[in-house]
Formats: sequence, C-alpha cells, structure tokens
Amino acid sequence: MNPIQQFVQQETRRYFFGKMAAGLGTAALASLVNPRLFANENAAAAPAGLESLGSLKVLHHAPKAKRVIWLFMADAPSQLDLWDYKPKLQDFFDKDLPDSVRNGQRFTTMTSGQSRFPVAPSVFKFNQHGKNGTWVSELLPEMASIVDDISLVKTVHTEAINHDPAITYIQTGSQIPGRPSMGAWASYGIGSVNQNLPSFVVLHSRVAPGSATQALFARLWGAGFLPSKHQGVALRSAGDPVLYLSNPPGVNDQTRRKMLDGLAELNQQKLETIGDPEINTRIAQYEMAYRMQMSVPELVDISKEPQNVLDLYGPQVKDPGTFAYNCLLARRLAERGVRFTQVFLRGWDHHGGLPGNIRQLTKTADQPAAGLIKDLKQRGMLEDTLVVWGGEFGRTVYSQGTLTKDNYGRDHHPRNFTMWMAGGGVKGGVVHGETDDFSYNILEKPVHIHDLNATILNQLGINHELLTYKFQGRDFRLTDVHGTVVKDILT
Amino acid sequence: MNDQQYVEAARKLAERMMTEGGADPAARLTFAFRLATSRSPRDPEKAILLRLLDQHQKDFQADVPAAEKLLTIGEAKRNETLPPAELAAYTMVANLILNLDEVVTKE
Repeated sequence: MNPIQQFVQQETRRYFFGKMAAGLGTAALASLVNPRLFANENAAAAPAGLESLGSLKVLHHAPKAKRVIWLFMADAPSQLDLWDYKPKLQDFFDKDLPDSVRNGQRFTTMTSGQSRFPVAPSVFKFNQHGKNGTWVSELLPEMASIVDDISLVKTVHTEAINHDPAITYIQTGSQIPGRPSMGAWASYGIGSVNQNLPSFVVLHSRVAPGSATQALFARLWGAGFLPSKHQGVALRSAGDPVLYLSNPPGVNDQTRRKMLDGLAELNQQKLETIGDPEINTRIAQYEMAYRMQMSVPELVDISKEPQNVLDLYGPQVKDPGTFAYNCLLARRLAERGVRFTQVFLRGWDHHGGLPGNIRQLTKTADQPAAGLIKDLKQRGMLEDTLVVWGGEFGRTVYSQGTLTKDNYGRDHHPRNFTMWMAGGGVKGGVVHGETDDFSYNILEKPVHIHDLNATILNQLGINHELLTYKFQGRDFRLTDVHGTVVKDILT
Repeated sequence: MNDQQYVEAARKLAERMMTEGGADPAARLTFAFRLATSRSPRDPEKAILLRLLDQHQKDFQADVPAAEKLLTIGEAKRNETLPPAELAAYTMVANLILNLDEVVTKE
C-alpha cells in the first residue's frame, strides 16, 4: 500500500471514530482486537465455508484444511537414510559418483576441496510398510506405521545449497531475507478463529542427542513487510513459555485492564496523529498479551491429558522443550484454532558420523511425529489439519570426509529431498515422484518448494497467486512468480 | 511492562514525579511525560492520564496492601516518606508512559 493511500484511509478512520460520541478508544480497540467487528464487513456475506477472518474478503475456494502444523526438520535430514530407498547403491560402495549423475551440480565449500566423491550407500535396512508397500528405513519404525496416512514426496527441490538461504527460501519464498514467512501470510490472509492466542505460533525443540545444528533466526517466522502482528510468536522451550506475562504482585486484573485501556487510548491518539500503522500492531499486541495471561497457562497445562494420549508421543512428552512435548503442544494449539504452528527440530546437519548421529536423533524424532498424526486422527482432526514434515534441502549420496563400511558424512543436496504431508485434504498411502538410483536427480514429478508452498496455501482455501501485498510499488506473494499446486497428492 | 526492572524503573520515575514534578498531579504527569517523550502532553492526553491516576489512586487506597506489594518490586529502596497508595498509582501511570509506542519505538 502506498503511504498516501494509507494516510487517506487513516483520515477516514479518524472521521469515523471522531463521529462516535462515546468511547473512542474502546471502539477503536474493539475493531483491532476483534477483526470480525468491523474489518470484515464482507465476511457475513460470504458463502458458507468461504468465510475469511483476515484480509481476504472471502476464501478463494473451499478449504480442506483449517490449520497447518509444520514439523520443520531444520538442518536437512538425509533422505537417503530415512525415506529414499536405493538398493542399487550397494554395488557402488566407495566408487566415484559418475560425472553424468553429478551433471554440473555445484559443491558447497565443505566438500569442494575433496579429491574424491565416493558413493556411500545407507547402512540402514529398509522395509516395506502399509497397504502400498512403502519403503521406510529401520530408523523410523513409528513413522512407518503411519505411511497409509501420508503422501511421501520424494522429489522436493530447491536452488539453495546452504542452510540460511535455503531455510529462508522455503519459509518465505525468497533466498534473500526480508519477505514475510508462510505462517505470516496465512495469518494475514485468513486470520485466526482464536482471538486469545496468536494466529502463528512457533515452538522450538531443545537440541537432542545426535544433533549437529545451525542457528535459526526470528526473521524465518517474521512478518517481513506485512503488519507485524502477523509474525510468528515463539514460545520459550524452558521455564515460562512467555516471559513477563504475569502481572507484578499488587496489580490485579482490574488494575491491569484500566492501565491497558489508558495505554490503548493514548497510542490510538498517536496513531491518528501520525498514521503509523505499526502502532496498530502495538495496541493489538498489548491486548493479545493480556488475553494470553489466561490462555497460555491453560495451553501448557497438560496435566489432564490421559496417559494413553501421552503414550502416543513417547517417553519425553512431559518434558517441556522436547520435540515430543512440542508435538503435543502443537495438537493443543490446533484444537484451540491456531492457524499455523511450526515446530522446529534442529540437528540433522550430519556432515560427519552420520550413521551414529542419525540413529541417536531419530530415537527422539520418530515417535512424536507419528504420535501427532495418530492423535489428530483419533480426534477426527486430521481431516482438517494439514501436517507437513521436512527440512530445507537433502543430503548427498557421496561421502563428506572418509568413507568406511559403517561410517560416512553427507553434504547438502538441493536437487531432491523427501518431505511428507498428511491430513487436510492430502491423500494417504501415496509416494509422489521418483529419483534416480543415486537419489541425486529427479526422474519424474518434481515438486519445487514454491509448489509445496502453493499447495499448503491451497489447502487453506487460498489461491497462492491471489494473496498479495503491495510493497514498494509491487504486489508481492509467497510464491513470487512461481508455484503450481501438486494436485496428484490431493483428495 | 511486567519485567521486574521495568516495574522498578516505573516506581523510581513515580518517586521523581512526586518529589521533583511539582505540586499538583497535572504538573507531575507533564514532568514524566516530557522526560519520556521530550514533549508536553496535549490536553486530551493529559486528561486520560489524570483520569487514570485518579482511578488507580482510589483502587490502591481501597487496598493499601496491594500498593505495598507493588512497591516492593526491585532492588532499589522505596522512598518511605511517600504515601504508598499514591506512589503505587503514580507507578502504574509511569509504567504506562514508559510503555507508550512513542517511547518504545523510534519513529
């Protein structure tokens, strides 16, 4: 939106609120904290099932998913040791990767100095699971038990070859930082049904045994140029989930309410004087924090979860900050109508000592993800909850560092990697796409990360080409000028 | 707003309002507002702050123990010569001023 246009709209607001005889601040506040009051005059007129609570007047089509949970496997798990079964590699042990396969792919600087690129077959056994005999590694016995509920996409690809550009790319649609993240787009586009929790919540898992990991940055779940109230709110993995949420001793709820009302009135006056829309965000965030004083303690109180549910997520489920605990919390957020939740599990950056490390890490990474699917399913929530599992790229078939019979490392590989999606209108028991015998190139049905992102928005009822925001004179969207919905995996 | 250090800073600002800010509430509020924003409050702004100060003061006078609790937060000793209900009310308003968008954000 251009600044002049924005100011003109602001003037209209001032006129509108100026006309209200009483409770200027209260009326303004009400419209900010409850988008259903004013912002969405068209939602009431929307056909059933197409109501939007965000900037879209109506959804572009009937949604299959009401919410998304993305289990983000940061640092890039090895598709070769988990999902992409390549039996013929046994014959290539320690042979050089043929140039015809590499086909000009650039190396990272971590392996570009290597004199050889010896092929490292996975040391792990694969077995067939589910009705369609999907091959899954022995490292994932629990996820193997849900293959009939997921679409396994073996042909996701990206251009980025290092972590930060790659994760920025898949999260925001651009390798260069500054664009809004997908969760922020979803919040902006369709809003949230729960006014007491943020529409986009981020959960970080403690670094687990067997991890090799990179830092993450708040911009990965940021709002970019969208109003910042759409940015992801990260709950802390230890101690209080949100710092400074409790009132100080001596300040009761009524006192706090009066003070916040006064603060909102003063901020509102400032907003009308200078027209900075970010003041809206501050007003809204103080109100959100006030409501989170009630909603967050309730959210993280898992004492009433029955044992048979806790058991689904595995032995670590009661330990805040573990992946298991976060997967349970993701389900509780979904139940409460949070639109977009991302659970980050770091630690898959296995450049060296991969077999030992990935064996360790999968011990705590396997069951919670499968448990989440089973739990959602038994509640009838899997139908309208889209769950996504995967990271920012894949890993190389050739060994980084010394290759032995039982040890190797794997470098970054952008040309193909494996993700899965479940629920929310995604078919179960599907394996989508195929890679070559080296899991190095895509043979059929490529799915670019823009296609993946377009598909996720599609399930929420959003046409990714039509959800745009004007910034610096140009309409921006999550998928830039790319992206095709992957219809093959949709019901 | 609820961070101990922030509450403590608000209390110390409140003490300054009562000891250095002049005799009447309007002058004291203007004093703190100017310290935080480098400008004087406009009349409507002053009215909101005055109204709020009055409300907080009534509430804390009805519940002096609550005021006492609020005034214990932080390491700095409180000025014992100031009446607790009044100081607590000024502390709330000082905390508000320190949380104004204008104060927290550089425009």
